[in-house]
Amino acid sequence: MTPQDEGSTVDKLSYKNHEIEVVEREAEQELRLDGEEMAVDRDADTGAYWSPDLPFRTYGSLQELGQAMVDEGLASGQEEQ
Amino acid sequence: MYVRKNAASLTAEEWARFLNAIVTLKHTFPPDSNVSVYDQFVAIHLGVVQLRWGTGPAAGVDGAHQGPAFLPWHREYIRRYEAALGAVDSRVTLPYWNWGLGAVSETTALFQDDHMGPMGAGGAPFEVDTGYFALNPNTFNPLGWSIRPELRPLGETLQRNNTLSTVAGWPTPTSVANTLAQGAYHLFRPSLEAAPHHNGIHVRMGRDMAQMTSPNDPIFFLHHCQVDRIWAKWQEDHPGSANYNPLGTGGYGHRLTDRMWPWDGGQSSPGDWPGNLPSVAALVGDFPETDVVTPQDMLDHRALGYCYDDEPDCPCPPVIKKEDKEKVEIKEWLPKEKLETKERLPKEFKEPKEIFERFPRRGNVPAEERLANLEANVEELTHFITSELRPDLTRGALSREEQ
Repeated sequence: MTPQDEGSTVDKLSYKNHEIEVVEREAEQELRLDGEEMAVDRDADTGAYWSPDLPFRTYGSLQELGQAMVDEGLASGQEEQ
Repeated sequence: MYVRKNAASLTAEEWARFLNAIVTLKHTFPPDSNVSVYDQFVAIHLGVVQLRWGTGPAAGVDGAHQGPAFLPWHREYIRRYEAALGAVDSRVTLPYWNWGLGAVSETTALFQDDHMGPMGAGGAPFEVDTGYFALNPNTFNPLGWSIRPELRPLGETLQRNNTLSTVAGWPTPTSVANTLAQGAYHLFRPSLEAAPHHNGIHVRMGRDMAQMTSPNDPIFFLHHCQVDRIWAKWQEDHPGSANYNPLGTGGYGHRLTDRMWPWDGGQSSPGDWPGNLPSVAALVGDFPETDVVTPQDMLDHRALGYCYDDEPDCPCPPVIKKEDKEKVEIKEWLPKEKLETKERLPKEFKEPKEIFERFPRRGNVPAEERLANLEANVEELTHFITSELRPDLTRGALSREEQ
């Protein structure tokens, strides 16, 4: 993967000892937790973010979704529920 | 035309028929399959999510959530489930959980042993340990209720949060009214799908209901029946194709004439969910190429053969209490497909009452006897549900094609 393919970091923050990174690639924004790309989608009509790994919840930003995924133990290295 | 009733208004006998039909689907296996009819439905719901990692035109898209097809996809899904229940007991229709509009007591009554079972017991992992959907066989369900390994993100025992708070954040008549007041589908659908409504109920139920395998909990279908009912109410003022996804949003499967997996003629297939459950493509059964459903097909619930008991001109039937006296009247509201089913039943199964008697209700009958009866019944049901009717969702009673 070339640096261009990896996309550009839009935002990066630390939350509960985990790194949440929002990356823009090919006009789409991705969410990475501790460097691992997470499954993220947007509602077709509202644009709200959600993840099939955290069903039935929507968030206004990828940063919020990332924090929720950390809270739910979904970052790599966290124990499975 | 058949009628979907408020779960709070079901009689004890209607509850017993409904719950026995669910248990029967859980323990009935289509020919050449080790996946029960019930579990095939669970697999379908997981599979439509796994399209995100799948192949075909719907690849990369959740075909049933966070997009316009949320409502039509689930309308067809619960309709087929209801038809499968009806193939077990032709008197059974799907009741709705009247969250948001009914009294709190209606919801409280729903979560009792002899209805949909209690919330999770004690502390984590909050297992449902009594009633029809407890793991261990009991006087309600002598066969027990276990969650299939491939469809099990949590445990073998059904799990629910240990409380279902009905105060803050619960859907209210006002919140539902605000949703119904949305003038366009692209505003209405998200309002109904998001919390506190559809999503909120899943999260409040928690545990298994908060997974993409949420149909493992049979309350799923009563919940989605209410979602469908609210859509039907909205459609009274916003009927037809012009009021479905006018902006054409969403990926493949969400637009008016797209085919919705798994009723897509084999166009798409689910893939493995990284770090989660592997593809369930092999669990969902085969669907003939002619079994094609689009959102457009789902826009008129009455044309699909059902209505809700509070619709102004919906013929609410006498249902169970007068069944022996007024069979003709009951027959009038049975859906065509169920009448056909009944007509094609083996002679010894022609009377629903006989079927019901093979599933004696809890009470004085010893558990061992109930277990023997139920096992015998399940054995016979593989013959009772003829090949074209078996709810593996192949052509038959569950298909809307002409027979």
